[in-house]
Amino acid sequence: MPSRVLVVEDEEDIAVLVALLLRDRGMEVATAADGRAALAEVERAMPDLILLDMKMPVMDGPAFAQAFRARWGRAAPLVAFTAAEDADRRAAAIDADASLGKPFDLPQLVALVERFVKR
Amino acid sequence: MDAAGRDLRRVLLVTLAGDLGFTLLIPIFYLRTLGIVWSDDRLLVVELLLPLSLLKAFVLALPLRRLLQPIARWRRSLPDGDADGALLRRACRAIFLIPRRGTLVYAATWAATYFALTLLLRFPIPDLIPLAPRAMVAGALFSVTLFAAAVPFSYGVLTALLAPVAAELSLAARVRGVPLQGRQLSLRARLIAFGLCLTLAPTTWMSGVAYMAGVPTATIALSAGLVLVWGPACAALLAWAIAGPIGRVAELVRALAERGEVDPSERAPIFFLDEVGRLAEGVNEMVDALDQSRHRIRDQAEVERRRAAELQAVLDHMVEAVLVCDRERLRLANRAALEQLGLATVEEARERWRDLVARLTTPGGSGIPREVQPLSRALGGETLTEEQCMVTPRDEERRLRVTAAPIRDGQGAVVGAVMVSRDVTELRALDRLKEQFIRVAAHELKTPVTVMKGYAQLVLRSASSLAPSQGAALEAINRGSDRIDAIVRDLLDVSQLYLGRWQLASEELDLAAVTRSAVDRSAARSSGRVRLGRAESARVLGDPRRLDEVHARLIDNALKFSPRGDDVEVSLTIEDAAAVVAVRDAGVGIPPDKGPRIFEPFYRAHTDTPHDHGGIGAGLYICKEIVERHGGAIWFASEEGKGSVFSFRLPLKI
Repeated sequence: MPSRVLVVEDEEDIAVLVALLLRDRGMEVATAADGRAALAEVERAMPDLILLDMKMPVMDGPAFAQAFRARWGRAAPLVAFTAAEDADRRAAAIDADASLGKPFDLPQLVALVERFVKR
Repeated sequence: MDAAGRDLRRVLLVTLAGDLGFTLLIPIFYLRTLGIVWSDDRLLVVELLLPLSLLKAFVLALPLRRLLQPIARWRRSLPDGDADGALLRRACRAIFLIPRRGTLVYAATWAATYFALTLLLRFPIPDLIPLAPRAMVAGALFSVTLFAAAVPFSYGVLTALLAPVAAELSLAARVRGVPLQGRQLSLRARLIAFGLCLTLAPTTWMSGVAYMAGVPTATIALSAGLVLVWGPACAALLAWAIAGPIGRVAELVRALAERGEVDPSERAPIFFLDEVGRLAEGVNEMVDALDQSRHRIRDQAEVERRRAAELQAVLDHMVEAVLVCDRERLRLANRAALEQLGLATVEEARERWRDLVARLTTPGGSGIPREVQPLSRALGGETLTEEQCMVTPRDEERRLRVTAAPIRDGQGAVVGAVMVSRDVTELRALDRLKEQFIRVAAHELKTPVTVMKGYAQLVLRSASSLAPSQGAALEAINRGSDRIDAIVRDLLDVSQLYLGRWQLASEELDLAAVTRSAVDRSAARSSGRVRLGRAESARVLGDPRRLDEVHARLIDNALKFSPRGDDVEVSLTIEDAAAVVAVRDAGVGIPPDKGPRIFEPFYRAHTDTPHDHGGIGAGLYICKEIVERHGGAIWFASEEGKGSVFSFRLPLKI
């Protein structure tokens, strides 16, 4: 059974990029364009890892993180995914397990994801 | 006894000593005038004179002493016993009375003594023939002679001896504001009186002698009368000639003093080139000097007025509000300040300015206690510049950049304070807008950069299916994205730094570990061109990510400006309780004229030179800010064409 990664990202190009990369690494990838769609996706099936963009329409990253932690606690690790300068601080603010600043190098992303999910 | 007491004693002694001389001489003239020739008779007269003279000396000494008493009392009260000035007033009155009263007492005692002697000799005394009636008249005339002779002598001696004391008293009275009192006795009146006395004395004596010799009374009366008219008349003429010019000078001086200013056309006439003439001359010179100084003062006042007008014009047309105060009140407010306070006139501001200044708040909106308001602190000697807010009378909140400084006098004491405030509301709003713009733009730029970079790398991963030129093109896209990202980060950093919104972590760390990892990373990227020299362990407090950034930027610069591919050496040493990191290259160096500015934001030393490698010129500025915010310093040494050493120092954690 492959690991399941949920990519919550409103920028389609980036979502597709991450999906392509991780699928190439043998993972199953679901995408959601905002926090609300992501909650629905989690409801459907709990992923092994959630990559969460911060700035999104409808429901942004912090709001999703709050809702997720309230309902499912630490059922899946959260990786904050942001273009803001202070990625670490933002990640800490929403109680994320790790953070990744944009733009990122692909090997960096892969290494981070693989820290949380087995191949 | 002090010098003052000595002065007064001298007056008594000299008067009495002079008196003693006369006491011995006068009897001889008396005996001859009255024709007493028998030696026994003479002895008897002297025996009678002895007690009379003693009585006379006693009678003279007593009032003289009493007259001098107030002056002695005043001298004893010095320096601070005479609080209300009553003693001084009494002494002043006395000093003007003494010559006149003393003289009268002195002359009167002489006249009385010999008149009494003559009366005694009239009575039948054993072994002595009573004086004939004729001798009685001569004796009476002799008394008058003595009186007339004693007056000028006594007056001269007393005024001469008391002159220094009188001068001292008049100065003291002037200092204490005590008016000089005493009846005026004009120079003219005194000269006439002395003229009369000086003619009266010899005339009466000679008249007595002539009478005793049997000269007819009519002859004596006629000649004596002539002399007595002629003497005072001449004295009156002389008095007019001498006192007149002095009076003119005195009137002129008094007029000048009353008017308070001089008219150079006014002149004291000079009649003779004597003391009075010199006095008049001196007064004329003084009038000239006063007139000149009046002109100087007027010119100076004109210069002052012009300077004040210039200052007012400058102040009124300044954008900055200026307030100047001393310790009690507002002294000056320019137009901008009045506008800022919502007032029309400086007078209005004077009444209310403390309330108005109290409207200043911190940028957070909390009130500022009076003792720490800018002007209060400036009065305390502090110079400060800070930003504050003020709600204007129209209820607008304005942001002010306030500078306040003390005003000092020649001795350096703070006598006032000046506050200059500039309205920076719009400027700050613009800063915020700029910062917001840069933040949004940066954020928006990052998404396409992420996409570009990501896809380029994604395609590169399947490198086997690519032609080499395609691979190179994708690498170029990847590098380009990195550069855009670096520029965006620099812009964000500079913008945040500029607004003072940077926050640094502060954790204890070994700087050597940071240095080592930065060197290793750079060495890996530059095929081993970066070497680590000495690296001593150094515990410092700081932000590891930012300190790493300083290393990386300095090493990158060193590599970038070493076009021949020379090695870069990094070292970490401990010097004077500080960790010093040095990055040494053998590259192009920095032209001396560019040196002083290279730590300024967006300044690029190599713009438009063959060594222009791009970049926005923020790196060294950011390094400097990071180092300085750690309490350290950054500097460099460079020789053009031979290389540079960039160093920074961080304080060790104690």
